[in-house]
Amino acid sequence: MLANQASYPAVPTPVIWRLWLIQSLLLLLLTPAFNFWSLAIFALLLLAKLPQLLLNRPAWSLKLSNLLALTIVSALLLFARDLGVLHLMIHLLLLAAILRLLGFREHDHADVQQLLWVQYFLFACCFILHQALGMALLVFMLLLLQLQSHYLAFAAPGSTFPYKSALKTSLIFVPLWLSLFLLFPRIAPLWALPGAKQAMTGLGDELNPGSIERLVESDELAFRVEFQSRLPQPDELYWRARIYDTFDGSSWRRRYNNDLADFSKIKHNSNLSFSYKIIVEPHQQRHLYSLGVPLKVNYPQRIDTDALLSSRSVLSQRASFQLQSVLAPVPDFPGAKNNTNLQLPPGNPKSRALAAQLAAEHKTPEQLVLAIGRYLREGGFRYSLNPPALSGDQIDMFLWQSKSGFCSHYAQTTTFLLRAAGVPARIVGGYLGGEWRDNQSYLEVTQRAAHAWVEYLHQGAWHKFDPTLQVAPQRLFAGLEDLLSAADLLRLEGNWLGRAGFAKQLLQQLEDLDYYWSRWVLGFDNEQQQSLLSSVKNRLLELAALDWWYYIKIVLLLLTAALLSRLLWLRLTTAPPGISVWLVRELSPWLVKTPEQTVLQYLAALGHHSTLQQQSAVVSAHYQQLVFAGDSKAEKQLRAEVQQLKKLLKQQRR
Amino acid sequence: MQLLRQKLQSWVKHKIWAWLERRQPPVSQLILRQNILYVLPSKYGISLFALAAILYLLGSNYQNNLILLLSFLLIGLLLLAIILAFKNLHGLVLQSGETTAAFAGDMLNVRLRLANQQGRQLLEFSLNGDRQLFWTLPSEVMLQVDSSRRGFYRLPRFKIQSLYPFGLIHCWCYPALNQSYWVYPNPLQQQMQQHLPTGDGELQWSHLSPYQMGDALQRIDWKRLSRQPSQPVVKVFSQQGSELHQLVVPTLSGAALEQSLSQICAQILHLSHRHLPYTLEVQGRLLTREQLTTAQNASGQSAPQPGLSSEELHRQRCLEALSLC
Repeated sequence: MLANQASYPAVPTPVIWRLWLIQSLLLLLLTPAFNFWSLAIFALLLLAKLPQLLLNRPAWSLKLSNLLALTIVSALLLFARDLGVLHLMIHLLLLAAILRLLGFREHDHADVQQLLWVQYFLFACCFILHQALGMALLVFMLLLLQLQSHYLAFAAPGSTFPYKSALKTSLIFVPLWLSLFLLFPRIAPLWALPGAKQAMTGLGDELNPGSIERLVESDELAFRVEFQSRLPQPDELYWRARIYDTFDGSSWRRRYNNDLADFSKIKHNSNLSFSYKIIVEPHQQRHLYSLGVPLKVNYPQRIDTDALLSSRSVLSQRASFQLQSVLAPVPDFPGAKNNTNLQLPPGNPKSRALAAQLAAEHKTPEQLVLAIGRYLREGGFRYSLNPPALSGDQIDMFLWQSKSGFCSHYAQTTTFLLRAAGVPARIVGGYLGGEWRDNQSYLEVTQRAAHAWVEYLHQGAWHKFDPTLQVAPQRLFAGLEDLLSAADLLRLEGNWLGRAGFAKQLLQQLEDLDYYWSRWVLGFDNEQQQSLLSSVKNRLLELAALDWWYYIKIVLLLLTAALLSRLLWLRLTTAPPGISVWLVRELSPWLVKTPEQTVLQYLAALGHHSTLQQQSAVVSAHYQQLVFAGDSKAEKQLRAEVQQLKKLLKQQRR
Repeated sequence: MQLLRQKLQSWVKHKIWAWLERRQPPVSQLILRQNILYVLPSKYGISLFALAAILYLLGSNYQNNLILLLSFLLIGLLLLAIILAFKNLHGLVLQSGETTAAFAGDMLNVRLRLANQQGRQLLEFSLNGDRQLFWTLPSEVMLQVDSSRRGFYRLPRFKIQSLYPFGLIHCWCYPALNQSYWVYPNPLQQQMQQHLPTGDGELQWSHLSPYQMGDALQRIDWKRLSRQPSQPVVKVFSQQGSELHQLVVPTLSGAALEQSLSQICAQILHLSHRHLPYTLEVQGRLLTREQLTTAQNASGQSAPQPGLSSEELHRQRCLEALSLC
């Protein structure tokens, strides 16, 4: 008796239409997880539902659905394994939802229950793939449609969605929802989950002349930073991301470094330490960005012996983390193999000769670096995004033939010369500068700011040297656009937007919005939750420190507010035409008015029922005066008398 | 094992029923309030809660706040459904209707009046396996009761439940109302021919008698009424060989008693259909039609319904006496 639960009427057709629409839009939203063939199969399956919906064809049998499910799942496992675990899971979930809809039985409520369940799960998958503000809003709007269909599937058939009361309910629901989000305890990630598999972006594992140029062509966002300490100067904004130290004659590779290090005890000048929060766009790689030497990070991030920051798993969604770092030379770890930082392939005899000559003239690495800089500055070198291609002895060719190049050319040449002169050196890949946004409240770094520079070992620490600045010193202070020739500028994409002032402004506003979305919603983490809680706690403590008179004031204030809102509510809900409704409602706990009774009959019956004829007659008289004689002054008296009657009735009940 | 489980189940059910009887005795008007409403998540509610938990873990592991938002949205939906499911039943007023009667084996519906029933959806009334789902509530609900055995019964405790909205929360209650109903013995059709006057004899005019309350209108002597409007008279007809039928319930028990009660019931129906006078003697108590005018409702079992003629009232009282004996 306790176990059997209420039954339900059949699911109405408009709900099935909605479910179909939701699934189609989910397929669109989840497209990045699909390949061409699976997308086509799923779209066809969705189209197969249309004859059922439009022409009232019968739903597919369970046997057919199961057979199809078996076929498609085995096909997916055989041919689409390279999609990755997450994408396969999304395939299976959506397949289950679509096949369930194709074999949908209106009378069996288990069907609609399972369908809605799986679709809620698919919404979570959408959020794995899309987190930017616009897409997230789209997903949330679709979620509203899902909630509406969920409601209608479990409501009386033919009833419409109660928008008005839904709005009212959302006044309770949204604060509840958001406070759950803000206050519910967070747990640290327990295990690594498969991420979405997409093409890598940003700096790759390999650096060759040309790789940075390709990056710079795109205006895509790399990361955004908000500083809590003082804002850094332009020449302090060197974002280290990767190190390239193995040269094979044409390109530089990174050495795999898995040794973790702790730099928190490094001596530093407090004026050169920065604390900031970084929001990194997904680039499907592990490396992260930091200024100088990062001091300390939290669990999913780690610092290796090269003072580079990386994430434990591939970054497939927007991530944000808090960081403190100090602008100091990176200390060298004696255990690290420095001979790789002297390694050079054979070739480039002229450059080697130049290096030997410079080394003979300048004894210390510092002097050597300055000499190389002077050589580049005075040698008639040109800064260009579109230099002639290099072949053969690249370094020789660059130094004596083309004499024009981008930052990677200068960095690799300088590193080569330093190594040839016996000074350990390496190329650092990262970003230089960025664009301040929204009154310098945050820094936006795009791929356009990609840069490469040099680090050389001197007295047990790696010092920074940027050879590009010798050729184009303005690079620090001006954007790339101002430095390049008109022909180079044409290669940068998105430039047409830069010319239209209005569009640019709008775009910047949208970018600002997206930033704050990432900062406050996507980036809300344990730490911020703790600080929110502690600020609330502090407020409460402040309150506790006040004396009792304040409490009385607050209580009085709350009471008046409650009273006023109650009065306002009464005024709003009981305008004179509704006085009878109010009266009956007030007295209903003692006697319920039957539909055939008039109010006067009801009052008489109440008087008889409770043997309070006298008081109910008084109420009745006032009621008649108000309603039939139109005496609006009687309303107040009537209310008072009704309250009096209620009081008497309450006494009687005791 | 099966037997043990059944016994345990019935024992638990019995205990719950006894507890409900103590806690919530039958009343004539019941307002559904928080003290008699029970709210628990349904199976689907539990599965959706499990989904929210899975999404919480997923969101934590991906460090994806949007998935966490979705998880909390589902939790919020569950909390909201608790309030809405409760509100769907809370404040509904049930009032007992008039006493009804039927012959054993016939369908018997007991009428309940509802008040304050607007704006409620998908409430299911169930009693003894008879389930009625109302999309919106009418002002009257008919509950089908068990009418297999004769007697005078109180409407059993029934169940009102709802999964509205979202199907996540199950809200129910077991109301009991002071509402009774009669089940008369089943009239036995076959054997009555032998014992009863054939009834196909012609009606003969017997005499005139002064009009009494409840006399059939078609028997009023209208010609005489126009002459003497203050003294209406009715024509009294009688059948050939018609005299007062005296029906006596024999002192039997068990199946034999039931058999004879059924026969007497059929006789009463037959006689009253033909407007023949009859009396009934039950356990030494004589029921006559004349008693009604003098001592109204001596048994006090059932209040006479307005609009019943004395003949119909007599029949009703006789049938009630048969049901109880």
